[in-house]
Amino acid sequence: MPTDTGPAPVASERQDDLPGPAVSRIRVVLAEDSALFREGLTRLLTDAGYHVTAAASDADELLRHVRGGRPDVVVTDIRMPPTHTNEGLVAALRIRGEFPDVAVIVLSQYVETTYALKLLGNNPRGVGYLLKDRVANSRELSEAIQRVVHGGSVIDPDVVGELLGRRREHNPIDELTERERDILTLMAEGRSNHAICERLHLSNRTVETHVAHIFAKLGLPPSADDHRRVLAVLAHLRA
Amino acid sequence: MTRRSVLVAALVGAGAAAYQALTPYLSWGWYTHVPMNWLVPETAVGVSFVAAGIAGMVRFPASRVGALMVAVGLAWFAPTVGFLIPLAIFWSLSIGFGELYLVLLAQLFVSFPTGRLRTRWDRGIVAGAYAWYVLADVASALTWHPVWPGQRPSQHNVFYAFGSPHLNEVIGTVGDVGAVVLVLVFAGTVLRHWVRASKPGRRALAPVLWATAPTGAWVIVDQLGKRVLAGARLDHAAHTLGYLVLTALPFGFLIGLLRVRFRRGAVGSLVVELGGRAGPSAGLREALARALGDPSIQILYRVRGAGDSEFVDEAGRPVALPGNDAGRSVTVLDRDGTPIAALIHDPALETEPELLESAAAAAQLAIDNARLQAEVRSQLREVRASRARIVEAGDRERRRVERNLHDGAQQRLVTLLMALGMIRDRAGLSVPADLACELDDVIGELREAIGDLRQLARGIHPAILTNEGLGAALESLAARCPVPVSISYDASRCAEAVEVTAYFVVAEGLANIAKYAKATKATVTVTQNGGGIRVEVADDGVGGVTRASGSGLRGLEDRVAAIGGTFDIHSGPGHGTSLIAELPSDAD
Repeated sequence: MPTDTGPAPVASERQDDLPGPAVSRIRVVLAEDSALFREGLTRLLTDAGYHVTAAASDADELLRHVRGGRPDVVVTDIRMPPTHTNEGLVAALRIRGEFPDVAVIVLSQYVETTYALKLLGNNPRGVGYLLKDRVANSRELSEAIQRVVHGGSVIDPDVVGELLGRRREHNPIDELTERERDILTLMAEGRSNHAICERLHLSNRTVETHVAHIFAKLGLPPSADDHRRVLAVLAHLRA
Repeated sequence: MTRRSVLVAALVGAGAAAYQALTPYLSWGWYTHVPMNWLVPETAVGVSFVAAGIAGMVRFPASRVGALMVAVGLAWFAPTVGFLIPLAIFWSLSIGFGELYLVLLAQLFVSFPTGRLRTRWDRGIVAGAYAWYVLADVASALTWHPVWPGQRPSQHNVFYAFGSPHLNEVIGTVGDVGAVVLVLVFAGTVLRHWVRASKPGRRALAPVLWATAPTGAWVIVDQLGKRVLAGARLDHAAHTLGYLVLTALPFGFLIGLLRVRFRRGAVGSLVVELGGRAGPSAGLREALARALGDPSIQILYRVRGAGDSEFVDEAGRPVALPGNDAGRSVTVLDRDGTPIAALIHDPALETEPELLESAAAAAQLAIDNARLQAEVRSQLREVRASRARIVEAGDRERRRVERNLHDGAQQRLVTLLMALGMIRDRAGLSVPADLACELDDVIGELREAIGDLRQLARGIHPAILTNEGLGAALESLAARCPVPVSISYDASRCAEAVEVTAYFVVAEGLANIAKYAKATKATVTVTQNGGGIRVEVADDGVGGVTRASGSGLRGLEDRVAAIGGTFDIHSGPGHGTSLIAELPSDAD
């Protein structure tokens, strides 16, 4: 895990500043075919204060629960019966199409940018792609859930790490300062300016200046919108 | 056709003809004058059929057309002969046999040129014609009771059972209408035979096809004429024409048979042609096709290890022999009682078995040679197929192992990770700091182990290849390569075995570049190439790579060959290396 940024100082990120339901009111539907993992995840989220309304064992059951219960967020495994390929991803895209106000997090064992970008599509609001190992840290998972519930996006640091780590012949990323690289990474993970300030203990204006520099160096049009920004950054890294 | 049956046919035919020709001169005294305008054409038609039939039996013993023509001739004579014997039973029978020749003629038309009914449809319509003939005849015989002034005692219907002249009239009309329908069906069938036949068949059928229209027209006029045209001058003219057509018809059949035969001399040139050829089996089919005048001819071979009815083509591909209804004939060539090859040809050639035999004998060496080649190719195909199966079995196994890892070990370790995380959360601040620290270390170790396992599973089989296709899987490979890789992917999806092979070509290629090439960049290009894809992995490194450079490249070459592709290495010292694999779209 060379690119793992490790557990973040989550406590310093003031989630209560965000608009939207409080943790105890967030209703979660899970989907995971392994019973042991499903039960563990239910307990983890319940302990963290979430209201887990249903836990499905396949994509069909998940869709039924979403249609019936309209949760705030869905956390689904990517690979489920019957074909054990990418049912969870397909179900997630369907939920995003049918219920744009239901946030979705896909848990996966694959460090594959293709899946993450497919999930984001051209609307990164309220969607996340995380490696399953993130369950090791309940705060990390909880933070991700809150970000998507509040309309943000979450891309696993390992996936972003792979994108940033890709060797290129002419790599404008090499021209970035170390600090700018850190900020680019956090942007690619889907974090807002506000979250970046909190994470790096920088002032809002400093971050904004860095972001403007990064965009200029990468040749991207400046974007005030966080959602457009994450897509632009990912598209640039992927190209 | 034996000499004896020819003799019998000749004697019976001559007897019948003589009887018919001479009867008016005999002593029954029915004729006040001999009706030459009836006697001559009536006799000529029968004689023509019998004579042409005997010629056919002698010259074309393999065809039943000759015998059928004799039968038509005898059936033609039958009613008049019976008609002239002053006994009521003969008189009655002669009425019944009046139109038997038409059914035989119909059979002759649809069985030409072999004299055999080949397809189920042909057999069906001929059986239908016989059934209709018998039905209409019996019904008519049971209800016919003619009475006219000057009637002789012998001129009454011994089969009459019941009914009225009106009923008999109705039955007659129904029978005639049915006959007209049958004529159209048979004419259509002959036309269809001609359409479906290949060259020799068409050559043989052409005169018969031409004869179909006037013969059919005459039969229709004859059937309807009794009712519509009776006594009119048109009737007379039509009958004169009809006699002419019927008299000429048997020679049309003979000409048709001869047209198959005129190829005979070509066998000699076949010997010359095959003898002067360097590769004896090259062009064998074409040479045989020319010699036999059948461009559609196919040669199939029996090879060792194949089943009894199994043949393969030149390339060693198994081919099923055509069925009975396929409109093709099969001649099996054997050596010492063991079949070695089969010719699939136009049915018309069945009339010329010696032609086929002599052609096959002339081409014997070439056929033997081609058979051995086909045998080798067939074995090669089998070996290739089994190699492809082995590769596919390997891929399947890798996929299975990856799935088991993912759903087994990886899943359990992640569950364990979650449990440990929850323990740490709950322990919170209540445990000593060093214990919490150790717990964090364990969790960190476990995450790394999970990461290692993930990479292992990915190396065994990349799930993204199965789910998202080659393009996505290659992007993912490039992202992990320590050398800058640019990918150009422009191909549609292929069979999984092909995509997996392409993936391993690129994976191995990039791994080699990273390890040995000292390259500053690499390019991966996948393009559509005819039906398949072309994969090229190139770098700007030190070059000098050969197949012997590593077992990896050798393995790639084997793998590519197993699915029927080709693998090439271009690598001059100092000029970089490019691996090029051309793969079919389907791994077969």
